[in-house]
Amino acid sequence: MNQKFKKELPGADSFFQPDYIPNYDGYPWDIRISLGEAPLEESYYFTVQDPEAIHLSIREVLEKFALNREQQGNLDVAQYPELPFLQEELILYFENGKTGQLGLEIFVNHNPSSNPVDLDDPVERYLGVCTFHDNSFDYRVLDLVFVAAVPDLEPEEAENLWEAYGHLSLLMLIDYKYRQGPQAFTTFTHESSWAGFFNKNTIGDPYPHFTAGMVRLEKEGMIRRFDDVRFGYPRSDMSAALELTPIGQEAIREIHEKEKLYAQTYDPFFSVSPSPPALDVPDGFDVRVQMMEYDNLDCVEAILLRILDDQEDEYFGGDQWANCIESVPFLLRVHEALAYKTHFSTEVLQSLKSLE
Amino acid sequence: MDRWKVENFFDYLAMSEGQAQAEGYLVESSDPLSRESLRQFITWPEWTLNRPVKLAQEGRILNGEDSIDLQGDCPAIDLVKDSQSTVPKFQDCNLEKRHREAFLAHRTQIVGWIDRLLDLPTSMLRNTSEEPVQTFDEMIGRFVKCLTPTNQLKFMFRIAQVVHQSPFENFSKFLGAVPFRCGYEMWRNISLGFGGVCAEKTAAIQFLCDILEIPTRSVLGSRQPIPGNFLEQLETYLTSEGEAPLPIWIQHLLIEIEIGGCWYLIDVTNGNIPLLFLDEADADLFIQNGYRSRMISNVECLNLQRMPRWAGDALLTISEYHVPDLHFRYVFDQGLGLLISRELFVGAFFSWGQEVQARMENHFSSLARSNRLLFPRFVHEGNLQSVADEFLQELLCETLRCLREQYRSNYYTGDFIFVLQPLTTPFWQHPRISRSVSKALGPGPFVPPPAVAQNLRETILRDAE
Repeated sequence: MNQKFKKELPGADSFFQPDYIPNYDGYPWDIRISLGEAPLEESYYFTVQDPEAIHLSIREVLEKFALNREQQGNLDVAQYPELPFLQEELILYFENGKTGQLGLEIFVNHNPSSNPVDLDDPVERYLGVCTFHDNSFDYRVLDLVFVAAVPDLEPEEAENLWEAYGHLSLLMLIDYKYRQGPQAFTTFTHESSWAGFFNKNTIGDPYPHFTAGMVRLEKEGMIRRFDDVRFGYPRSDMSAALELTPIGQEAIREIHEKEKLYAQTYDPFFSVSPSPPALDVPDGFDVRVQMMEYDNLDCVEAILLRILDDQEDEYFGGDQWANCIESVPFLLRVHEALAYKTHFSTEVLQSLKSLE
Repeated sequence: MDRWKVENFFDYLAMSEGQAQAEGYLVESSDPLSRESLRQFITWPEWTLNRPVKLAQEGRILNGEDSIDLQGDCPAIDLVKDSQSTVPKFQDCNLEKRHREAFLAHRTQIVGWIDRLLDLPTSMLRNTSEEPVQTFDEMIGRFVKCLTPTNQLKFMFRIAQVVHQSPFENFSKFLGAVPFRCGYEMWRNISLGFGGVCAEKTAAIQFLCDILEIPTRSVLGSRQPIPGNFLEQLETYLTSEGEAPLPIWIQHLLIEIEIGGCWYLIDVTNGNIPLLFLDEADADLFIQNGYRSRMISNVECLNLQRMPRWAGDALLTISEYHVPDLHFRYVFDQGLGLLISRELFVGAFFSWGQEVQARMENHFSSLARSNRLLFPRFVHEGNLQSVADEFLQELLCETLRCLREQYRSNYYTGDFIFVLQPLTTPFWQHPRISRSVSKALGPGPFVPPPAVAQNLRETILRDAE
């Protein structure tokens, strides 16, 4: 799982649920709240004097302490006079989140899970420790991050991307399953996720993306179903319910060729320094996407193929592949890669290219 | 008509433009507010912390009986400091009188700009006779009589909203070749959809308070600890005629106003600093402890210090009359760039070669990465056309032209590069209003008047036409 937030406070180390956290039992602790990726230095905080309050739920401590206007007198205004105003702003987010006026997700900084926290979970499960390098402060902290949820990828945009590139992910799925061996491939073709495709009954089909995509591959002559094999009645001697046609095999061969080419051409630009120009530097800039764009490549296709190739086990392995195809998390990754691409000048790109 | 006697020219300049026209002068200034700045500089040099000036043409000092040559391609007229005169005293600096003079000279225009921005008929503000307030003009000379203390507070809050909502920008300084705008110039600038930096916006509030006779105090801010002898340092600088080092630790300027016997601290900077409107108790806490703010990426603690009126006047006057490259300092030295909005930072840097450019691109891209921002775009003459937003493209194009024109150095062979940095991390954004103020204002939301929401696009297009 990817951590959603791993923000650091300059001059301090933060640890999520360290083994030694029981050493802090009996001491006051902090609730810290920051906004999204905003730095921790400007966050809101509230010191809870009651050590036993860690057994309460996150919702309870927010309502009782951190986001309770009646507790404003306990804010450290002598140090940070803006705290009451930050509290007001957070209360507004929290209240609007409760009524649904605002899509508010609350995460825990450094939590290994990438999911929002369940506010009914007990605080103690999410406590971390923050230790300042100069030993001036060393305390337990519930390090919350408020995120006003905005869709990262608009549904319409996701649909357009699926329309244009969905077939690539389906072909790579079939290829992945095929490489697991004949038995695994046969089992794959009989999984219930294919029901919509084989039974041609799309009403109530939980995987409409997948079904429509496979119908399209079939129409384009890339896959062929076996009419003599009854789908959904697995026996020990059963055969696969479909196969890749020569056209489909050729399409997959082309995909692999492209992947190889993209990897060879652009992986050297994974971590570069623009000044002085250098490739393969530690902690450099990833200019692969910008370089692809510079070469007039179809960036979406190139990124998608690289992502699916790199993380095929995550997306196609196990029993969640159909859900994955439906929710298209890989398209979100493409979207992020495009959004977070670098914008170095042509001169910088040229000097990097000359180093190859 | 091709010569103008110096003493007559001074007589002309001592009058407001309206007076001069009434007296029969045929001269028309291309910009009445620039003429006003010149008029105040020449007529009341001590108010602007300057010695009296003399005119010179082709290196020859012109005395009262001499004439200015106005023929064809006549040589430019220089203003020369009268070195025989005494050094101006900082106590003579008088912003209040300057504001009043400017208002008297340009009342109709200034009231028009302010009215347009405040849109008072929609404010539901009523005077003490319970009649709706229609125009700012009604309050001149009778602010306290015209409005109850609560309505005075409501009015000033609206003013603060308007100024705060105007963009934090330096584009307009280059477009208008004005390194720093004073209070009355700011009202015109804001009415055109532009804005300014903290000191200019504070100057706008100061101007309005002086016209309405609202007592004010200046508050300075700094990221560094404010030296105990800050007034002494300021005095030393002011009496040195620019020889002593600039007190560069002064990085922020705010204002306190007195309404109904209570003082309120106001910060209308914007640029991602939320509007601050604090009663005295809250203001004391902010002034004792400073407060955290982030405009682009760095979180900084701003230390605050109250100072006497003369010091605030002097700082604004120095900025207006004594630092000719102040706009370059704001953009390049202080790193404030050309615009800081909720969505975008537009910066600029000098580039005199590919290596420098790559280094600066590295610097800004590293900042973006360490702050989890989208990567910035670098825009120069060669790729300006790639800026998809036509308005921004036009604005950058025009600013580039002005930057080149105003940075006249024979030794500089490079060009300017713009940095477009999307600001994707969230900011604290709700106004910080003391409870006592919120209570007095009544139920929110405190929506700023619509004129403020007009964008720069209209302005630029209109000006271009």
